[in-house]
Amino acid sequence: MRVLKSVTAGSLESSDVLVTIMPLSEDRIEYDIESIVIKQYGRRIRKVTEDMVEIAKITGARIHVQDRGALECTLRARLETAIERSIAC
Amino acid sequence: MHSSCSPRDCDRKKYCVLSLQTVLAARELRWKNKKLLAESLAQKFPGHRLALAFCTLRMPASLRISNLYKEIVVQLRDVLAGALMDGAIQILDYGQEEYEDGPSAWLASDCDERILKRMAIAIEEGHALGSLVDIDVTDAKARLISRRDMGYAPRKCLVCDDEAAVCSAGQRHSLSEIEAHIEAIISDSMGQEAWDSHDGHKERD
Repeated sequence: MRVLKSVTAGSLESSDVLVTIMPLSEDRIEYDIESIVIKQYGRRIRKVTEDMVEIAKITGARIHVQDRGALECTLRARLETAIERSIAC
Repeated sequence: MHSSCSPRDCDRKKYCVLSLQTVLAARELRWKNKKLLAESLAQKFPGHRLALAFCTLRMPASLRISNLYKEIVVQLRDVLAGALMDGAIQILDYGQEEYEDGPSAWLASDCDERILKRMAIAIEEGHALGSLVDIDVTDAKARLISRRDMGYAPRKCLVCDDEAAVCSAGQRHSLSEIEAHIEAIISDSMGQEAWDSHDGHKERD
């Protein structure tokens, strides 16, 4: 499924994460992962993000994750919402 | 675990009273409101350099909504207002709101956002109750100014000396442990209410 529009989900409050999805003209996925706890949880954040994007089968998008120390369930919920919003007509 | 959370997703068992959905919706609403507030203040006060400060409780959601600590956000917002007045910086507007995941108090000042952020950090670090609040500072476009941007170290955990974000993202401490530390901070603060904005020192009454 192609990403249709630029959307965000979440916030930059402490313990939250802001997920921004922007459409790309090519059929690929670009990731930009930032976190204040990148050293401790960076690999996990990347894995969860890539897995969820893969499961949702979206393409043609840049996924920008700005993590402010969110729990994994928060990251999953924000990604899910952002993906839903990005493919909604 | 909250009844509306699915067991597969929920790893908040330790602190859960509100559903994850409620907390996430409240955060997103607050985030959007910050932008709307900044826009409306920019229209209301043209020609002023707007900087905004938002004070919220820095503790798990179940404690934020407990009413026990509700006054702290207004109290510390007012400490910040006092520091601005001492520095002869104009306060353009202020207010407070109750969200589903806890209270929030804010003010808008006519100064460089970095000056306001420095004052906010001085309160977070130096006031007896400062460790119990987050004072987020934004510019006139609601862009957040981070400690990192300003060259400050990240905040310490309420319970141990590690970085707060690492402890909270990893849920390293139990709710009762956090609650005990909050109570200790509050009882230590009794009799230390006075705050000198000039040198940031606490004074005993």
